[in-house]
Amino acid sequence: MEMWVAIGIAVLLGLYVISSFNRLVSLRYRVRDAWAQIDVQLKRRHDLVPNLVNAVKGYMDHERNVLESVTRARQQAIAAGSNINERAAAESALSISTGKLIALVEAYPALRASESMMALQEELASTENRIAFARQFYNDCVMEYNTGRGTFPRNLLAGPFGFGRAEIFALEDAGERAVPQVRV
Amino acid sequence: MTLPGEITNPTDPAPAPPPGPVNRSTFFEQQKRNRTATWRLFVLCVFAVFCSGMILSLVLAPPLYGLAVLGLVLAKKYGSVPPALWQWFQDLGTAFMGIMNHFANDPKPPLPPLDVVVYTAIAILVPGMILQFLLWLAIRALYLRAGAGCVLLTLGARAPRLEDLKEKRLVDVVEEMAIAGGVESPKVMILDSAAANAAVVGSSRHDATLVLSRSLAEELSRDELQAVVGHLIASAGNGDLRIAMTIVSVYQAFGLLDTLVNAPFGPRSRHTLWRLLHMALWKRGAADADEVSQLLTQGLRDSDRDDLTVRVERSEQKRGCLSTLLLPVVMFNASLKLTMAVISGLAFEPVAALLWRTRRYLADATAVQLTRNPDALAGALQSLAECGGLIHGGTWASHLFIVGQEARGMPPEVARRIREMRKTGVKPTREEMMKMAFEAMARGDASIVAEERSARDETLEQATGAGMVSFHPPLEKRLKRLQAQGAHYAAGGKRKMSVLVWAIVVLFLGPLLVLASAAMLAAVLMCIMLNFVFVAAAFGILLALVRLIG
Repeated sequence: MEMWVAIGIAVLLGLYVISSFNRLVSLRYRVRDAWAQIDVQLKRRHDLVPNLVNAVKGYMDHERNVLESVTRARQQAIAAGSNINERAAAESALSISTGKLIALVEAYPALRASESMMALQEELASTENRIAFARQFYNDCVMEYNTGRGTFPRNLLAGPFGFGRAEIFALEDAGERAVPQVRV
Repeated sequence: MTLPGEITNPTDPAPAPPPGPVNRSTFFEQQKRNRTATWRLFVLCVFAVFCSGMILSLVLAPPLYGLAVLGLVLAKKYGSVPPALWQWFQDLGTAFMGIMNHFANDPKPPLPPLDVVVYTAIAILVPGMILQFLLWLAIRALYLRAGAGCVLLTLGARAPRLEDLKEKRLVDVVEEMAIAGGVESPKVMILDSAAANAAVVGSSRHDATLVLSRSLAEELSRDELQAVVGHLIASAGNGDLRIAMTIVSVYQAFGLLDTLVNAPFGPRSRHTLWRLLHMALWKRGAADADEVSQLLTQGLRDSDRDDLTVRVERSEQKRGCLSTLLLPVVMFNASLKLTMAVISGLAFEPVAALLWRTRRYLADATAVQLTRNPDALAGALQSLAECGGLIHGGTWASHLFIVGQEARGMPPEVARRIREMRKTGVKPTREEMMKMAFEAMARGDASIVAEERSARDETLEQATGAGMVSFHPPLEKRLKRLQAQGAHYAAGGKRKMSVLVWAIVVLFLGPLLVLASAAMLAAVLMCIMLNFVFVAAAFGILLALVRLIG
């Protein structure tokens, strides 16, 4: 009788270990997928920036330094390695410089009203949104994964099976982190 | 070390409470709450369906047993029947007659023993239950395979034109929200309707299609669009399409039962059955499956035009005797229909509607998770309440849309004015809004209102069952829950029901409703009894005829 109870408990325990392991694996894959999705969207922005620069070049010749800074930021973002923090910094720099460029466009009514510019702006706005949402999804996945591997009793399994902590995609730029002044 | 927010000096006055509503909750809490509610209602729904099935199988039992006995007698005449089976039927008949005698006669003969009563009751109910369950399983499997889920709705829609900036924006927003939800991007179709609304159709999250009306892009801001699309993608991701299919499949099973009964008497049911068979044997497209589904449930809606009624009426005009001969079948058909209508209206539909409402709240909370912007969804819902409306032609699938009948379908210009008023903090009253709408109609801007009204009539007409409970939650309640999740929504002063109104509801309407329900149930019971008498008599005559010939 006792033997059967022991066997039953062992089987239940085994099933629990298997299901936890599988859950952790699937969570980890979701984190990786989400990370790949951010990559895809960042690449999209990298491809978009030259189009944007070309479109405005004819109109704002004397704002050459802004255009150059955008191009430079793009190159730095492409060159940034796979370290999450480095990439985040380079990408937010690119985001800020394209934002400046768009702000400049507002000063040129002819450019702003042109069909192709409007399409480009929509494209850029959508891409920025996609990056933000991809990052949000990635962070949600990381949170879920970290909670999954950190809570008892799964944390006993996470170590031996090599489920390390995942890092969230945070903004490293101090300027962006500062609380914006909101007029109410 | 002190934590931020910790009171260091005990003499300080207590800090003011943070601004905003007090009963704040996160979208995670809201999601959990609605998931639990769905489960509770699901159990209730299963219970309701089970009870309905029991009542319905009382209607089905007489003809089923009649056919079985007839078959048995014929088999005995021209072959052999296992004596045990014969005996079983005889015992069942004796027990049943014993129970009937106990209730029907005045000097009551004693009731058979309890176990015999229970056994007889189960034996009477089970064949009908099995038949219904099999029909439901078959039709559900068929529709899951066909992958249909209101695909017909997309037939009136078109693919988006990407060179149009507004439509490009719609498509972009859909892709953005798909990324936010971590799901594959659904297909997008555009409806050129005056009323703004949006729906998700399909049979599962993998073949979901978003149907967006073009006016959405004109009436809503980008943030609001994100919220609307987020709601739909969340709905598909939460598995609502499967749930919708299951709810619809109950109606389809009812419809199939009805069609089967009508099939010997007319071309319409035979046509429907033929189409269904065609769909089952040769895999047909999803649109075809949808059409068959409409045909199936059509019979439930207009009972005075079904094949049997038409056949009987024609025979009466020709002074034929067919109507007398068909009386048991007519009785059976009528009691089947009445029972289905009453039980679906009283038991199944309200529970299903409440269940569907929890899914709407859940999708709202998930949309907030995706956009992290409760204000956007609150704003979008308020805007849709004015410029949104039912889509003409898509009304039989209105439960799949983000807003239903609570949308007022104002002319766009009026909707815009109301929105502007709301932004300044003045909430127009219902009377003011109606006045503005009438003014616009007087100026000739009535197209949308007319379209809206006709669509609304269509829903009322086409609603299966009583349609007492809307499948969409009331707008105020949705906004209130969004407010709890952080939306800045200026609630119009809550209309307090006066004591008089309460008294009327409690003392007058409540008992009236209970009485009406009781009357309907009594009518159903009467029908079941009459059905039993007529069908039993018909089979009695048939059996006598068989004996006479032999």
